[in-house]
Amino acid sequence: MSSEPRLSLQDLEVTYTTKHDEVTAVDGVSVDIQSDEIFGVVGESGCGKSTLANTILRLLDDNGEITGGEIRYNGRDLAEMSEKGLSRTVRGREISMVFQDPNTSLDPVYTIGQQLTETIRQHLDVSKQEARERAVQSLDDVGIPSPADRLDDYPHQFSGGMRQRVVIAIALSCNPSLLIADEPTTGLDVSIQAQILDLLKDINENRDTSVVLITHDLGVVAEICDRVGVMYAGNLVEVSPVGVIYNDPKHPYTQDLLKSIPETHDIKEELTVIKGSPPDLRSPPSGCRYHPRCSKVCSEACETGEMPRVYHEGESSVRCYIYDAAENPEYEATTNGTDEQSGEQSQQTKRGEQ
Amino acid sequence: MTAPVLEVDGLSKQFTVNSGLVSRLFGNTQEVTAVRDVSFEVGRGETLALVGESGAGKSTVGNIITRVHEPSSGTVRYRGEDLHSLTGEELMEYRQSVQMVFQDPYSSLDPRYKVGSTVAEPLKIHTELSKDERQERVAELLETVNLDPAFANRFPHELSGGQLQRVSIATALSVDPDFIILDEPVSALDVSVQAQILNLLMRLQRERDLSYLFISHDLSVVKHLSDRVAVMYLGEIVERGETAGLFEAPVHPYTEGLLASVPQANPDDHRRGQRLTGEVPSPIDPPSGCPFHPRCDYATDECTEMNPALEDVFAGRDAACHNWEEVGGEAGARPDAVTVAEESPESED
Repeated sequence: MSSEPRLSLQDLEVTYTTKHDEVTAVDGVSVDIQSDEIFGVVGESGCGKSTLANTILRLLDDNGEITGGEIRYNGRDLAEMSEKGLSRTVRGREISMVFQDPNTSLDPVYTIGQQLTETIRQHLDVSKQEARERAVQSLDDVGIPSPADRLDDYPHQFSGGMRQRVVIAIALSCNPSLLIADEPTTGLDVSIQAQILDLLKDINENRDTSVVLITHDLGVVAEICDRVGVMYAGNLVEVSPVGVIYNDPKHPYTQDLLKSIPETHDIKEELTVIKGSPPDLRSPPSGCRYHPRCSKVCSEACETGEMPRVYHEGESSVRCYIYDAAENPEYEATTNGTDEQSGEQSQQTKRGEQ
Repeated sequence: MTAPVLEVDGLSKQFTVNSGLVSRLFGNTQEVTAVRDVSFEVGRGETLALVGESGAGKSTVGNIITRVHEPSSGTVRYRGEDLHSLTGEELMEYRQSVQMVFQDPYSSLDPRYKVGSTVAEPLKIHTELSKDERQERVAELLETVNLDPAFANRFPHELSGGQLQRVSIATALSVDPDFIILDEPVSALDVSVQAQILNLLMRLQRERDLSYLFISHDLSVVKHLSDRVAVMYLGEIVERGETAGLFEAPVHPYTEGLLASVPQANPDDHRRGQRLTGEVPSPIDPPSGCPFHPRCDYATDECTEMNPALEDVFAGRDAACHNWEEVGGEAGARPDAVTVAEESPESED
C-alpha cells in the first residue's frame, strides 16, 4: 500500500435508466488497484461486476450514466474527461480491455494483422512497417506460434483459445499499464483456460501491467489473483487478500458463497445453499442489501439502517455491521486480539465518525 | 454394482461434413468420427459422469441414447433390450423411462408455453390423466423441485435461470423416469443456484433410485456428484473408473493434465502434475496412433503408430494408454500406491 495506487475508484455510482425505473447497478464502490497486482472482482450475475469494468473506460450503454464518484487514474478523473481525450490517450493505450467472447471482439472481415496495426497506429506514432513489426512481437508475446505467418490470417482461421490470445495481444500492443479482463476464460475449455490464466499472470509479472480480472469463478480467482473484491447487488461488500478470502472470509456473503461450492464438501454431501435469490435492483432491500439472505443478521441496522459503511478488519475492508462495535455488542468479544489491532480499530472508528 | 440399467457397447458415430450438393457432386465430402468405440454401463441408482473438453463426443453419446442420432455401429441396451430394435409401444415406454435435462433452460423451454403446460406436456403424451389430474400432478411436481405451484401460470421469461432449470427437471420427472441424461445441467447457473440444483438432483436420486448419465466439463461438480467417471478425448473413452480413485490418482496422461488444469478454489493448494499444453486437434484430421500423443509428455514411438485399446489396468480402472504405468511419477497409481500419493502430493518428481 506504500506506493501510489494505479487506479483509484472513489464512491463510484452508476445508474441505468429504463422506461419505468432507475437502477443503481454500482453503488458507492471505492477501491484502489495497486501497480503490481492482479485484482479479482467476483460476484454472481447481475451484481454489477461487468458494469464496474465497463465504467472504468466509460463504455456504458446509452442508458447508463456515472451518477457519482471519481475514477482517479494518473492524476486525472476519467469520469470527468472528454470523450475525445479518453479515446486518444487512455482507451487501448493506457488502459485496455479484454472481453468474454473473442468471437465478438474481433472483426471477422479484417485480418488480425490489420486489427493489430490499427490499434498500434491509432495510439503510437509509428510507420506501417514498424506497426507490423510491433504486431508480430505482440502475437509472439502471447504465445502464438509463427506469428509473422499468421498476421494475414482472419479470425476464423484461429481456434477459440488462440482467438482470445489475439484479443489479449491487441490489448497489450500499446503497453497499457492496466488491463481489464471481463470473464476472459468463460466458455473456454479448462486446458485453454489454464493457459490463458498463465498468460495473464505472466503479463502481470513481466510487464508492469496491473490486471483487473472480472469473473464468477472462485477457482479462477484463487488461481491468479492477489486481492479480491466481492460484489453483491451493486455493492463491493468485501476486499481482501486472496488468502483471507479463502481461509478467513470476513463478509457473511463471501462465507456463504464459499460454502456453496462442491470443493468445500465431501463427495455427495449436501451442499450448503444461500437461501433466496439476489434482489431485484429496481427495489433493493432496505438496510444491508444482503440481509434477507444473511445467516448472521446481528442488529436492527442490518434490516432498517443504511447500507453499512466500510470497516477495516486486518487487511480487509468489509461492509457489514458485524464489524461495528456500536451495532454489534458481540464484536469486541469476537476479535479481541492484540493491542495493535484494537488500536487500529479505534482509529477506524474515529475516521468513520468524521 | 447392481445389474446395469443401460449398457453401451462399442458405440461409434460418424457424421458427414460438407454434405451439400456441390460437395457431393465433386466427391468432396468428409467423414468425421464424433464417437469411436465407446462402451460403458450405468447401474440402477448410479451416476456415471462423462467428462471431457468440447468436441470430445460427450453430447453425441447422450443424443444417441435418446435416439436423436442413430449410431453408425455398436449397440445401446436398456434393461437388456436393444434400443434400436424398439418400435411402437416399447419405444414409447423407453421414451417415458429415459428423460433428458439440457444445459440452457432458456432455450430448452418454449417461451410461448406457460410453465404448467410445459410440465404437463409429457403427461399428455404418456398418460391418460384428465386435465384436472394433470394440473394436480403439475402442482406436485413443482413442489418436488421446490417451486411454488403458482409458477404453473407463469411464462419462462418471468423466471430466473435456476427456477427454469427446476422446471426442466420437473418436466423430466413428470412421467416417473428411471434414467435421466443430464447434459451440463448446472453450467449456465451461478454458484449459489448451482448448489441448490445439485442438492435437488442428489435428493431426487436418493428418493427415487434414479440413474444419471451426467455429462459435464466441470470436474469439481463431477467429483461431487458421480459414482464413476468416464473421461473422453476426441470421441474415445481414455480412462474410466470410480470417481474418488480416478481423481486421486489418474493413470491416463490426459486425465492427469485435465485435473491439473482445473483451477482450485484454494490459493494454498497448488496444482499437481503436468498441465495440458496445446489444443484439441481437429476431429476431421485426427493424429495417427493414440489421438492424444501430440500433447502427451509420456508419448513414445509406439504411441504415434498404434492407438492403445481401453484395458483393465487394475481392479476397477480402465485406461487406454501404452505408458500408463509411468503416469503420476514414481508413486504410480496402483491401488497400493494410492496412500503414498495422498501423503505426498508433490510426488511428481
